Amino acid sequence: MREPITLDDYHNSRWIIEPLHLLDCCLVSNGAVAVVVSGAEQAKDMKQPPVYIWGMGQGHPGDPRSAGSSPETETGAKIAAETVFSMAGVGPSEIDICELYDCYTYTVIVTLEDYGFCKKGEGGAFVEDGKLGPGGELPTNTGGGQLSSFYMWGMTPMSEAVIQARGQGGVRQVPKNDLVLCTGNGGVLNYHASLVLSPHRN
Amino acid sequence: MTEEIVDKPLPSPSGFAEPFWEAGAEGRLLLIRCKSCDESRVPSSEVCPNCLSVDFEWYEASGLGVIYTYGVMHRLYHPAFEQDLPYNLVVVELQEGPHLPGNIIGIENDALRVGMPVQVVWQKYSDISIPRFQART
Repeated sequence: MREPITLDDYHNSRWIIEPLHLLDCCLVSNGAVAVVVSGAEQAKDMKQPPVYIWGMGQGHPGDPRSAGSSPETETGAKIAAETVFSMAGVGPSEIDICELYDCYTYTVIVTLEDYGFCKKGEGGAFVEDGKLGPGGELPTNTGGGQLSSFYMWGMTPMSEAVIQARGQGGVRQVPKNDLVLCTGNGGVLNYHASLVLSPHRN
Repeated sequence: MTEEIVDKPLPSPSGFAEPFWEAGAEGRLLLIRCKSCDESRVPSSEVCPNCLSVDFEWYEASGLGVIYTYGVMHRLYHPAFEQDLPYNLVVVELQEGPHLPGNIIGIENDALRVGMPVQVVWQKYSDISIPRFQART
């Protein structure tokens, strides 16, 4: 999707499940993405500039329906955040770019909250000033994400994270790309994994 | 072309959750209490999601709660629900703690609010009664 969307376009798009409009939902795509993972030494001789993994995190709280009482406002990201940031040795304030799994608009907001970019329940106000957009303070889903680019599961954020870390984003390249947070979800946001990626070796 | 009448899918009341459906047919709401950690839950699993114990007991709940969250379905996912669109789906936080999903009946969807007090009502469909909710004052 390349045509600009206005707030009116958004509100006028049909309901899918209230409170989600059509434009709150990701696209349906066919395609494939492959990632080559190797040791840092081998990567030096490859054709493309290497991207280094600073941290990896996972969080799988399980299905809230079987628990019957867990709030749906916290996802596996909350658990993964601790692991990924402690392994990378950085915190949310040091992240330059976010590539977040965005099956719905809401997913981006709940993920930002779970990673500690803002407090729980304050995600809406946090993003309201446009900081996630081009030229913003925290450029997020710079390739359009699953909402506007293509839906290839966790490979949508992963591919764009690699493109940004390599500096190959062309007109959408974010100038400061030292640390990129990349997330993926499964289930009903109850299986979560993340990476902190960088063009620099940790 | 003949019109195909499709029935709505219904739960199969068998296995460990059978007491839940039997009580429902009498208009009573039963919940499970874990005998190991005391955690209360809806009968969605034989295993306690809190401590993994399979030792539990049934108890009768008040049937009262408040709307924890809700959505309104505008898209058809199953042909049997075509006449119902748009219909609501709610998660009710029961007074005893657990969350029970269902529908609110007897109210316009636009009137739904988080925190609205509701009570369970059982609706009979062929051989089974389904828990739904209505607003209470």
